[in-house]
Amino acid sequence: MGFRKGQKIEIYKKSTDDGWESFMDAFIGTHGIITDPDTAINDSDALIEVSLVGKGTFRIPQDCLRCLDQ
Amino acid sequence: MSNYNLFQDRKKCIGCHSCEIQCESSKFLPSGSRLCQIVSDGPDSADGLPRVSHVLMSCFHCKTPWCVAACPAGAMKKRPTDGIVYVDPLLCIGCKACMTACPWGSVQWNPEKRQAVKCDFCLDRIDRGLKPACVTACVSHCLKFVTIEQNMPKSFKIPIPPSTPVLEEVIAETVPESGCPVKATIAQLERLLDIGGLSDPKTHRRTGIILDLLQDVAWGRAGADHLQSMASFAQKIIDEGPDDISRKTGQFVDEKLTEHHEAFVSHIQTNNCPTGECVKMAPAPCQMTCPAGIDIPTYVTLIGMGRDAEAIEVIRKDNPFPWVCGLVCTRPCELMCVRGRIDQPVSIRYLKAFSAEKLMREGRYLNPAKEPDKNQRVCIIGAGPAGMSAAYYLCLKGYGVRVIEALPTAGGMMLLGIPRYRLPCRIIDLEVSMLEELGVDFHFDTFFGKDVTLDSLTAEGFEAFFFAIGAHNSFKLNIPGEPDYPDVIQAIDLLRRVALGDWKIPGQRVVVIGGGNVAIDAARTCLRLGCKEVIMAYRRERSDMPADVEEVEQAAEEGVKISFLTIPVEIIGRGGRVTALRCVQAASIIQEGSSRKVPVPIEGSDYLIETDAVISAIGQQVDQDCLSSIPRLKWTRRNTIFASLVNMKTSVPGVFAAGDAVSGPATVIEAIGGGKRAADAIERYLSEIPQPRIPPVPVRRGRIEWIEVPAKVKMELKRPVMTLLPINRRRKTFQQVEIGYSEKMVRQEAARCLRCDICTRCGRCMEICRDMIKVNALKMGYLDFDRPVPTDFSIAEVRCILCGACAVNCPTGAMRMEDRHGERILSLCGTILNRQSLIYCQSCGAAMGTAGYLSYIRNRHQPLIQVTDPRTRCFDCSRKAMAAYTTSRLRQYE
Ligand SMILES: Cc1cc2nc3c(=O)[nH]c(=O)nc-3n(C[C@H](O)[C@H](O)[C@H](O)COP(=O)(O)OP(=O)(O)OC[C@H]3O[C@@H](n4cnc5c(N)ncnc54)[C@H](O)[C@@H]3O)c2cc1C
Ligand code: SF4
Ligand code: SF4
Repeated sequence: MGFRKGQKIEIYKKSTDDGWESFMDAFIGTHGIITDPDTAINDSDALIEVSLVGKGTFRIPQDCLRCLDQ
Repeated sequence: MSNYNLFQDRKKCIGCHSCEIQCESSKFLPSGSRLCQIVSDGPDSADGLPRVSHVLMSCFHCKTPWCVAACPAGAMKKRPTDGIVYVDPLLCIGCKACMTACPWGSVQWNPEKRQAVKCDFCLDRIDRGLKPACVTACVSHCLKFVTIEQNMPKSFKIPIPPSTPVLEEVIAETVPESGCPVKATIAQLERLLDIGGLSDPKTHRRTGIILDLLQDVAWGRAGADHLQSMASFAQKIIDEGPDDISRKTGQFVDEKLTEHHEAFVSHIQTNNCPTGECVKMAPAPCQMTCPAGIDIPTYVTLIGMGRDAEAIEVIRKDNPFPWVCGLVCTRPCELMCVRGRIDQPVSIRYLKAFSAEKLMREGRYLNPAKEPDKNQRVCIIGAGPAGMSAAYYLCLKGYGVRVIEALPTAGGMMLLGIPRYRLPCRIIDLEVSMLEELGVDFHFDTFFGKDVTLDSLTAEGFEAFFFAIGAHNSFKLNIPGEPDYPDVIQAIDLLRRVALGDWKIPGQRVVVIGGGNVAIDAARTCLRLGCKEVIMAYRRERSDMPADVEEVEQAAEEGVKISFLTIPVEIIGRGGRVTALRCVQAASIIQEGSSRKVPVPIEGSDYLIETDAVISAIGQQVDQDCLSSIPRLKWTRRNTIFASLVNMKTSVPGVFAAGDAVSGPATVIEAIGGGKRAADAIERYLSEIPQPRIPPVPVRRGRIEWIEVPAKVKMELKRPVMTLLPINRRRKTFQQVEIGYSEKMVRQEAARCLRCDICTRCGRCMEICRDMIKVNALKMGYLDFDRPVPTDFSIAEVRCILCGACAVNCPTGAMRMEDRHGERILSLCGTILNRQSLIYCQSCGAAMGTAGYLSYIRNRHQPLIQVTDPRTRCFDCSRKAMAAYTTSRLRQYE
């Protein structure tokens, strides 16, 4: 499955996707919550909306996310 | 007793108070905290003449000190080698137990450090062979400091903080990347001054001024000229500093201001510190989460206070569509809401819809004043939330704004996608009309790429462009039969035509393909248009469904059927009309090397769903064709416009973009946030100011008081259940489904907010209460994001003794203890945790604490020292009483 709304996640690595911007390097290691997954087709390639503790809300690629609450 | 004695020859004392003043200054105490005090007793008559006695009261350094017994933190100690009683400032938690316990009023309060202080015979001096400061200052030489045991061991020293670094080391320290540069610079400068290496008085004074200015920045008090002032003081230190270390200090400040310029400016402009290290400026998690950065705690509290107009004013500083968002926002803030860690999040979204509607009804929904005309023009393409938000903020900044829209009306997907039963048209119209009133110039029925181009608009005099064209092209199903029948419809085409007034029924039986919000909206719309049967075909399981749970539930209640693990493979028809959708059943399987379940078709499981129309809702993409005349415009591999999230700049100078066209299909609030960021970036572009490198920090719009609520009520208040339209009406009409909350519900709901803009959830109060005072009256299980545990504010009502140590140690002032109308009250951001009657000093009537607190202290020293005098006296009166007693005893020997 793709990520679901409300899931707690960690940004555990840098993404190589072109949706990753250099300021996002500071997000690595941050925990957060999925606030808006891809609501159309669960596309693992889509940018999804994540809110990161102390950082704000951003659309980021999914390959850098790891789920915290399995 | 200690090994020392401080004697006073009362007859010589002239009451000049030099000893007090010297004590104060040598211990860097604020005025008023008198460790040694000359208490004047009298006048009475001696030898027929009036005489005042001046008695030195300090500390007796008792054999079994009351204060040491009472201190729960182990901060009040008796030095084993010589019996001096002293406070260890590293351990003192400011609970005042020692002060209350001491029957002689010897322990005093340092209001600046919020800690206890007392006479320690100037330990640091006597360890160096010097006399206490008071003795050296006594002008009449009436004070004598004597050692009782001459063979006093000198081995024991008060622990001092670990090694003091040299100036160069402090200057060379770097700020960790995740830390706050403002806070780090303050800490470095404080240490520079503490070490005492800045010997040039001018440099020392100027560094002190810079430190004060920095503190203003960290506390949200700084103005626009603070940075300039700091830079000029730093330059003066560099230019005029007489020694190397002065010049290095100046350079250090100058480098910090340059290197972290953006962070300093952001602190001043936003009043928020995103790292939360400047504790007074830590933004609430909800505000940080909101893609438009709305100051949620401020507006929620204003609504709770019934100040709706101010609340809407606060919201519109970051979002011009409070009413629309109050009904359809995807509310990411509520997912981060700290109250959700206790029970359910505050209903942040709906509260603003209530206030906006009320103001609109009362004619009090007003636009803010515009800045003077800048004589520069910006063209915006697309009248969706992104385009209109940029238009609103640019117009307020004084730019001339034209919005070009392909359709005859404004709203974008808010109007064309979101159905009327969720967002009535008049709400969009009313909020859009506020933009028209402000002077935004809408050009409808104008298609960019056909009716106008970048060149034609540039020729008209526009100096910057903002593309917010959304994502209006649908993905194809790519299955046989799709291109062959007119009854195979795209969900957004259906929703658009219904939104624009064409209510033709797509068929008696319809199948909607997809499991997202758009699919749900299309299915529920079909029911309302009169379809007899609406089935959603979704290829995965229910738990994978990306649509909002509430939306799915409402759809099911209304009669939408959902067929899970259903993969459409062919559209079948006859005579040019769709008759069925062929599907195969899928199994949800985790494939090797992946943690993700995928739907795998089960061989031979095909079946037909009879239907008159197939509606495809599997996602949208951006229409690239209309922008093909801008060849330099870079696109991402997802076919969205390439633009930086920080400033919405595209690859073409002067061209900015945001909203769905950049992110792909997203949300209204993200589009609004992007539009607002773009407006800022366009202003910078037109004013030739450099663009920021990091995303903007949300701005704190107010610092308002909290709402007082008793702890029990705070716990009992529950998020109200939304009233919905009766089901029979929901199936047939486009009437708004969510009817809303009553005014009472709204005001009460706002009072559930924890004011996370004030309490930063550092947990210091809880630690002190549990680990030091050992009362454990604070059960705040919501402090940790990763591992929340149960919370119960009302426990404090039973356990708390109102010692106030939590309030003293709270770095933000969120925990407050105050005396009101005969009671001592402890509150956390307005939640009244405990209130108890005060006990007053029997002599002067000053408040002393609660019965629980006084008995807590008595119980601590009772095993060691029995109290024989049942009277209750405050610190001052205790001291005065002791002075009077001393005088009377001494007179007996005169
Ligand atoms: C069915 C549906 C339901 C949704 N529900 C929600 C919801 O409940 N909550 C939520 O937050 N989000 C929801 N969304 C998403 C949300 O509506 C969008 O994310 C948001 O509207 C995007 O805003 P935008 O300004 O980027 O683009 P849009 O709102 O799409 O606006 C773009 C505008 O540009 C115009 N335009 C396009 N091309 C041109 C051109 N060449 N020349 C001139 N004008 C042009 C379009 O006509 C349109 O008016 C929903 C979307 C859909 C489709
Ligand atoms: S409790 Fe209040 S301040 Fe805290 S996150 Fe929720 S709405 Fe924001
Ligand atoms: S109330 Fe407690 S948790 Fe909140 S900021 Fe103060 S000390 Fe920290």
